[in-house]
Amino acid sequence: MKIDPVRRRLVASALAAPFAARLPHAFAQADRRPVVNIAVAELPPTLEPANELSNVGTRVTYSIFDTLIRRDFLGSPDGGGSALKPHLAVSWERRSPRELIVRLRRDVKFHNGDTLSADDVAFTFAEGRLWGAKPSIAEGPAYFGVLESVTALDAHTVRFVTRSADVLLEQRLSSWASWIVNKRAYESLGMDGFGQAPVGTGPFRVRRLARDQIIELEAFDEYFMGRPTARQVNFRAVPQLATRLAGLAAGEFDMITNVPPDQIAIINRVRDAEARSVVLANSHMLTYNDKGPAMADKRVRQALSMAIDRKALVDGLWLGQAVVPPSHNYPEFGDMFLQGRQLRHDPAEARRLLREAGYRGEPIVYRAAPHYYTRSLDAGQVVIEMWKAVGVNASLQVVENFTQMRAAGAQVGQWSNSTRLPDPLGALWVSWGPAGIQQRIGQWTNVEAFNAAGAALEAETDLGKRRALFASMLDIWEDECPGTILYQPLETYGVRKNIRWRPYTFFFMDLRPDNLSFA
Amino acid sequence: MLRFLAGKILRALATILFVVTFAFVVLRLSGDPALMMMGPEAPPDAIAAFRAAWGLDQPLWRQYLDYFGAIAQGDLGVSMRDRKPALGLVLERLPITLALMLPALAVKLLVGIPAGIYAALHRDTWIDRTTMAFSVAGYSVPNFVLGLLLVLLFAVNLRWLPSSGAESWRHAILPVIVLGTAGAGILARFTRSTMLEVLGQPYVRTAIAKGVPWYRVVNWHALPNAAIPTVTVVGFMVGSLIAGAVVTESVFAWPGIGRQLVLAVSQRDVAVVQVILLLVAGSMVASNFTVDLLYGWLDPRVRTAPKLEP
Repeated sequence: MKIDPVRRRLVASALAAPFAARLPHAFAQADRRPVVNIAVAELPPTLEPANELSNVGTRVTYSIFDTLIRRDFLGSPDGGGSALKPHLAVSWERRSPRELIVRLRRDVKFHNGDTLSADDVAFTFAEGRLWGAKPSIAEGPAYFGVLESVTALDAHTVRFVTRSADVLLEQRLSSWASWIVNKRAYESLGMDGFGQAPVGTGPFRVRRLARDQIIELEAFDEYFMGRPTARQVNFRAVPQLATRLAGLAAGEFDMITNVPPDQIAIINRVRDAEARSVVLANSHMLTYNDKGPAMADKRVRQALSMAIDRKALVDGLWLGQAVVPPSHNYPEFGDMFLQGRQLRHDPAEARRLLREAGYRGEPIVYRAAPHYYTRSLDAGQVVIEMWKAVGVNASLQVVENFTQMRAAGAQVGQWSNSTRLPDPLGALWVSWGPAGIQQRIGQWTNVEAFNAAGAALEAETDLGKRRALFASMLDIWEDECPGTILYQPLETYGVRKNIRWRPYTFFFMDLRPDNLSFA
Repeated sequence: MLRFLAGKILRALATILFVVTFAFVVLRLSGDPALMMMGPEAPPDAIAAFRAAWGLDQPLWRQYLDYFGAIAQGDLGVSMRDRKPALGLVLERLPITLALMLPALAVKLLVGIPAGIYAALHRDTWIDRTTMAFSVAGYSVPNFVLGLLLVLLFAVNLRWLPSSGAESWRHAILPVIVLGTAGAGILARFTRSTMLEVLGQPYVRTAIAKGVPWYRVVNWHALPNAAIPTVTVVGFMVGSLIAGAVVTESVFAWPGIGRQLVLAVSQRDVAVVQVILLLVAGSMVASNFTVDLLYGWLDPRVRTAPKLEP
């Protein structure tokens, strides 16, 4: 039988088609870099980096986007370094206390092939997006409300101007909500569309996003810091801790997150995995309402704080690995850190203060939402016993959420404060100042002196004066005692032993080439 | 017949209205969605802006009227978390959940009913006792315990099956076994007891006395009469297909409607919760309606029974 040559070619093509279709896959297989599977408790609904500032969101977006300036977390052994180093910005220069000039690298590519330009930076920090009267990112003003203008001076130079002197601007540009987005993609897709198909400059780009199931990231080989060391990173949503642990033990996952301290020993028994922990830049707190019977007297609030044996909590609940900070005052503040301060544990003084305040056994109720903070209910039960030991008529009330915790009749509640920027303005002031929830809901009312010192600190640039103002704020906060710190909790990851990777004191997972490699 | 249908439909609508109203009130009174979505550390300005944007700053009655006004126009609301229409989000998950629940239902029916019949036909023998022991164990062991035991055995120790996820049919095996086991246990026990009851009825004894072959006694006389209570239980199982696997989906990280419901409730994503409840209530009502019709088909006395005078 004679076969027409054209038909023969068609038949040959049809027979070869399945194999031709496999060619890209075959090439991909030639890439010997590993695929990293990370099991997380929850995945973010969107990958718009400033719109998803939660721990679940930043854990993923940190690998897709970059900041102008990089905070060198790993510059400190505890993973909480606060020194700044160039990243997308090659350099920056203060023209005045209100003006910062930032010069960009010229070799940075976005995932869509665009070259990073000053227009992308100006767009990222645009008034309508991050600040101004009605920005599209609702949380933007909390971080960039200080901005007055952001202008592209040329293709690779940007000028930032703040409304008043802001010593923290460089820190802000290395932190929350400051990840640079691609202007062209953002404008064509809109905020919601961009959140599903984000375009950044980071080491990984989005390959697939399946809601509440998996986010697949693939290596972006043109990354300016070098070729990523993993071919692909999959973040899988596995809500149950037991299932995450089983997946790690079965070899299905290379890393798992959100491991409570009582599971550390179990992970360390897995042959090729280990637990890696870091003390978070976050403190678990108690809040005190300064109104109502008993609690209105600050001596009672001081007594409650002094009765807490924080070391016992750390030893009993956190295997001794959580940290009791020296008040709302953290080493990562650098030059602003105040040496020699501590949180007092003095039951005798607590009893004396209660007597002096005329405390007659009025009930004090501690409201706790059991599932929000790790081990918070356990901590609550122990604290109640410590208070009873000094004569406080204390009881624990379990509530479902923060609305119920802060509802009428609130006396003691739980909370946490993150050190968002390594400075008192990014920690104590953000949480307890006029913009903080405790003042806004009226649980802390005697605030004039604290607010005056904080406002002065915001405008001050001289280090000596800033330290004095911070010390004054801290004295007032401890004396007024609108709340107290319990400890800085531990965040633990289960990691396969052959993976060289260090966690940060934030929830960011740094998978850049300088922090991810394989033995 | 028309009056019968109209009455059923009206009752179904009232049930759905009650469920949705109850969910609306409870969800809004038990927690502020803005605080849930943004977390306790979120700046108060951001929380206020969120509340205003989603109408949460309006009085409850106003929100309720707006909600039902929108439903009347076919708008079931937008997810606060995803900023997408809630109906679309839930319907995206429906096939994923059914991919688990339909095989599980098949396991329940194919294992539970024959096991119950077999046990009844071998009453008080070791077969009966063994079957019932497995049945009791099946529905007594909580899903999360059985799930974790199976994961430990088949994923961690033997490494035959994946521990979690939904990427292939292999991922469905363990959750289907977990869901099927409990249901099969219930059905086996239920079927056994109703079969025993029917087998003791005079018409069965009469049939046996007439010399009717045993298989015909069982298949023609006993089974149809034993089916009514079993159909009721199966009806509940069918009605709970949509959100009946909350725990199992969580244990196996199966991204179905059950997990979506848990997330939406914890974050007070009100529109998504309400769409799911509407679907659940709708499927339960439809299932009960079908069961009512089946009663009439299985037992004509149900259709023709005279009304009792007071």
